[in-house]
Amino acid sequence: MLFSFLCPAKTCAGVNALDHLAFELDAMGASKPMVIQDKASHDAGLTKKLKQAFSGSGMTMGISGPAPEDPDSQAAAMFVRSLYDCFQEKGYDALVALGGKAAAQAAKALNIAVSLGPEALTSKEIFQPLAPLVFLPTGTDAYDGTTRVTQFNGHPLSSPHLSPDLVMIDPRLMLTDDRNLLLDRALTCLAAGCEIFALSPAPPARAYAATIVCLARSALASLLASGLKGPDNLKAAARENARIHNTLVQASVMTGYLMSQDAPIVSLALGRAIAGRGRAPLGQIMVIVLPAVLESRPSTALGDLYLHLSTPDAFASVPASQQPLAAVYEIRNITHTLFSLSHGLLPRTLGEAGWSMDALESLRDDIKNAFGLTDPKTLTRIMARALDGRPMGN
Amino acid sequence: MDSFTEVKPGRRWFQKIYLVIMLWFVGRAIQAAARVDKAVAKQFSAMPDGYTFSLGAYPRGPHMVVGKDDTGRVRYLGRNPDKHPVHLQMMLKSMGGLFTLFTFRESTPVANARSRLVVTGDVPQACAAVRILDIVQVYLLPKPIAKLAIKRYPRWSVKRHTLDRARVLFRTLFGR
Repeated sequence: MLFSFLCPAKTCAGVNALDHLAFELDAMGASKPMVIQDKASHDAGLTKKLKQAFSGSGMTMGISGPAPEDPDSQAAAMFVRSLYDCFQEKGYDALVALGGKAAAQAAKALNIAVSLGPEALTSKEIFQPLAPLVFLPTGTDAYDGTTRVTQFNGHPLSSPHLSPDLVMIDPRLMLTDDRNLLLDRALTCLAAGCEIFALSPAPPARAYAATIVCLARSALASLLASGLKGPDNLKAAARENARIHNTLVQASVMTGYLMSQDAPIVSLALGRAIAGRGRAPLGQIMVIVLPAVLESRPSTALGDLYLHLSTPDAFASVPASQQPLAAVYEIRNITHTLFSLSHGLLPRTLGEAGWSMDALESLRDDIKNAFGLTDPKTLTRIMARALDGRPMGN
Repeated sequence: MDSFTEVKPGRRWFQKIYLVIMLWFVGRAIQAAARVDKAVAKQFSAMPDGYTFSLGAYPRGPHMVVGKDDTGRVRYLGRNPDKHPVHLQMMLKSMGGLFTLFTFRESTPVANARSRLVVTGDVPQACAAVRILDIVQVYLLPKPIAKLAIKRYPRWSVKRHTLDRARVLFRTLFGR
C-alpha cells in the first residue's frame, strides 16, 4: 500500500489559547505580525481580544480593515495591493488571518505577494516557503482557511506552502452561526469525514477522519435532539449553540486539512457542483450523495465506520458482515430524520431536491474539470443512485 | 489604506505588580522551606551545588530565580534571570498564563496539560522544582485555596501543618 499524507499546520485549541499567540509567533521567528480580518470579525470588534492577548508581549501589530468577500473582485485586488505596500514599508514579518474564508484568502494572496513578489500571484504553483501565516477561525467555515488552496483575481492557487503554519481555536473569538448553518456545516464535515475514513488508503488521514466523524456526529446529535429550532429558553439556546459551534470549528479545521490531500473527496466535489445551483445547501447534498459514493467502491473500512457513527454497544451487536450495510443505513437515517423534523422541507434524495438526470448530466463536465474525477461511469452511477436514493444492488 | 492601523498593545500593570509580589513570596518561601522542611531539602539535595532555576512568563517576565550556592544553601536570587547562569528555565507562554496560575484558577498540572508551560533544561529537575513549588504552596496558602493550586492536598502531620508552617512563614518574611 502506498500513501502520502501532509499536514504542515500546528493546531492549538482551547481556553485562552490566544494568549500563546505571541510565543508561537516568536517561535516561528516573527516579531511584527499584520492582522487581516473579515467583515464579521471587524463588526464584532474581535481585534480587541487580540490586543489583550498581545499585551505585555512587546510586539507591534498592524490591523487591516475588513477584507472584501469576493476574492475575484477589483476591491479584493486593491485591498491586497494596499496591504502589500504597507507590509513592505513598515517591516511586518508574519500574517494573521482573523475570521473566515475572505480573511484567509486575502492573507494567503498577500503572503504570496510579500514572500515571492506580486508576479507569483499569476503563477500556477508555489514552490518556495512563504512568511509565517496564522489562522484564527471564528466560524464553522474554517475548512476554507486551512486548505492548501486559495483563489485570487479569478486565478486558483494550490501549494502545500499555502497551508497556515498555525491554527489557533479560542472560544473567545467565536462568532456563533445560526442553527441552520451549524446543521449544514455538521453535515459537510460528517460527509467528508465518512468518505475519507471509508475510502482513504492513508492511515493518518483515516485517524483525522475518525475524529471529524465523532465531532460532527456529536454536534449533529445535539442539533437533532433539541429539534431544528433549538431550546425555547434563549440563554440555554445561546449556550448550546456556542458549544456546538466550538465542536464544529474543530471538526471544520481538520476537514480543511483533509480537503487538500492528494485524492479528491467525491461527495464534496459533487456537493459543490450541485449545491452551487442553489436548490439545497452543501452539507445536505453531500449527505444525500454519500451512501452512493461509499457503495461505489469496495472498502474494508466501511464496517468500522459504523463504530464512529453509532455507539460501541450498537456496533458490537451487529455482525461484522453486516456492519458496512449498517454504516450506510445510519447515514441514510440522518437524511430521513432531517426530512421528518423539517416536515418534508429537507430532501432525502436529489430527486426530491428538484434535480433530474438530465440536469445532473449537464454538470458532469464541470465536476470532471474542476475536481479531476475522471471515471464517467462511476460518476453517472453515483448520480443515478443519489437521484432516487436506491441502494446499490437494487 | 485608510482603515489600516498599527497598534502597540499595552502592558498589564496590575497583573505584573501582583505577580512580582507573589513570585517574591514564593521565592523567599522556597528558601525558607529548604531549611525547615525535610521533603524540600531532599528535593534540593538531588540537585548539584550551584544549580539555579527560574520561573516566569514569556517574554518580559516577571521571573523569580532560586538556586543553590557553592555551600549547598538554597537562596532566592531575585527576579532577574539575566544576572545568574540559569540551568533550568520554566516559563509560562504568557503573563496571562502565569497570572491564572498564581490566582489559582488553574493548578500547575492543569497548566502543564494545557501546554502553557515551557521548560528549558532537565526534565527530572523540572519535576523536582514543581514538587518543591507544590509543597511551598501548601505552606503558604490556606487549605481551600491550596487545593485549587495543586493536584492533591497532602496528608501532613500536625507539626508540619502548624509549627513548620509558622517557621516557614516567619523565615519567608524576616529570614535571610
